[in-house]
Amino acid sequence: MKFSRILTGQNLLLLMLPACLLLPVTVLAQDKAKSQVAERLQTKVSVTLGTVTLPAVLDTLSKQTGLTIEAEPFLRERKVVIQLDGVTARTALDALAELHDWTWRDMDANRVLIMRRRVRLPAEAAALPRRIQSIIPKDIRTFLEISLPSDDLRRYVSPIPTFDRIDAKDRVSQRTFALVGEARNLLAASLKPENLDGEPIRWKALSASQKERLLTSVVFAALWHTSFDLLHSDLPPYAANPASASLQVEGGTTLHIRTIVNDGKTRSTMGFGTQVNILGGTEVKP
Amino acid sequence: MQFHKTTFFYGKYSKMATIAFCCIAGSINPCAAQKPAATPAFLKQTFRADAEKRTFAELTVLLREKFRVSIMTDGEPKRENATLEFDGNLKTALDKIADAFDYTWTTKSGIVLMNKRFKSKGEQPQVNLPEMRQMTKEIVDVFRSVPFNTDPKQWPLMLQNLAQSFTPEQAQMLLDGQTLQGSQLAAPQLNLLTQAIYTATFAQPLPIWETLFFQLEGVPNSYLLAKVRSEQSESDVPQPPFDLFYMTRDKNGKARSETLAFSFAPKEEKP
Repeated sequence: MKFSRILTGQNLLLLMLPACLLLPVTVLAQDKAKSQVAERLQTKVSVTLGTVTLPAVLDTLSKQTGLTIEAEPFLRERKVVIQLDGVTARTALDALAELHDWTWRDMDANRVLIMRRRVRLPAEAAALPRRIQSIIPKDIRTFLEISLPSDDLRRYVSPIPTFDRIDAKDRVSQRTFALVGEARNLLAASLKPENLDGEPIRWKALSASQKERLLTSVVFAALWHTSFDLLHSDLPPYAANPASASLQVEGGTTLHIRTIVNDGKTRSTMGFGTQVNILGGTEVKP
Repeated sequence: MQFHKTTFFYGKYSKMATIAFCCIAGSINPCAAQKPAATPAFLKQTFRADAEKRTFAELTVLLREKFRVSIMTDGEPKRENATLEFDGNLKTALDKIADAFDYTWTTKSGIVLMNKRFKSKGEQPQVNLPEMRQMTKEIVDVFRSVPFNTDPKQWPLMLQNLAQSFTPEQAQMLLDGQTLQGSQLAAPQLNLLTQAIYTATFAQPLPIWETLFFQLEGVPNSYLLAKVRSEQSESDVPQPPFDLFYMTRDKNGKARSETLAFSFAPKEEKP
């Protein structure tokens, strides 16, 4: 029998009927589940924990609400000190998210997931620095003095450096360099003489504090080597919009790509350049 | 033809540019319109307590038990304890506690949120392997989403190609000291300029983050290696000073060595 014969109008209706009947039931079930989660998020919770990792907090909240409250796996080693007294679970989750610049979502039946804000890949190069800055955890951003202006303000304030930036650049650089140096020194000092027999000291054999110092050393070395401007501002205008770049030649051989800032009183430039051989003989086809 | 090349960046945020920009910034300061937030009522409660040495955790318990204050704190403070006396309201007490343990604080729906401010020596952000892996992966992905040549040595060649493509009129304009705007270039020229700019801007930081990404991916198989600095020693037992290396793999699976410490000597444990 041909397939087209099976799919007559009558058969098609018969095939679709169960789906049509099930659809409202499914939607109703989803609505019910959502309202159940919303109800449970109104549960008053009390948490009396000292310094703990995130899962310990979420386990306590889960037990008190009847929900399954989890965090994305890569957030589960985060340490917090927490004392909650009779606040709703929703308020607690909002506060926890605000504390770390995270967000949370009710996923499906009785399950809540705490997650970092998703950073979309940039559609254009100009958006790259802000995307990178958003990816960096809030406490590291504070350490590096990276401020993230709101979307509304960003277009006005982000490309504009202030006097404080010059001091901040040195301050952050020195602080980051010092942190790397200290982590390395403490790591070296923590090694026992019997471990220094020329044999490898494996990662799994390191103590928790040695691991933390090693990770601090490599992560903050990368941050230290990354341009301060990339971590603290938008791209300079010539890079954000290459069509706006000014091309100039100095000394007959040096081609400059730059943005010229001229406020009537002072003139300054930002950009880069290299020596080139300007022939000017080649016809450029449109 | 032999051609000596020099390449350079300059004045990206030079002081002159800063002065010019600050003039503009001053006229559109968005913070000028903001009003200070009102103090929540619960923070106006009186709080008196004699000077006593307490840990940060003990203080949070004290506030909860006495005033039912809910507190969330990112990480734990480096400082173990502080001797603080309280004679004022809750707001001034929180200021005191935050200052002593190097935090800033704010409130969200009645919950006190405390974040580290990193003014004290030794305070550092949390560095957890899974979170650092995720951060590094996402940063690498963002870099790779923009088309540019990953070899930082390429941008001078791209500018050379751009220069070679100038029409006689464009070349004459530039040689006469005039400015050519990117928007005045033909499409293939603007494409070349864009590639040169992106390569100059992004090709240097990308390898830093790729290297870190592969380092963190390979952490479980990584190891430290202490090498004897001097080969003069006749002893069978390695003698200090040592150099300390961190051994991982690069993106091609080749061994990668990073020096962590030069010429260090381990501390003898006290009996």
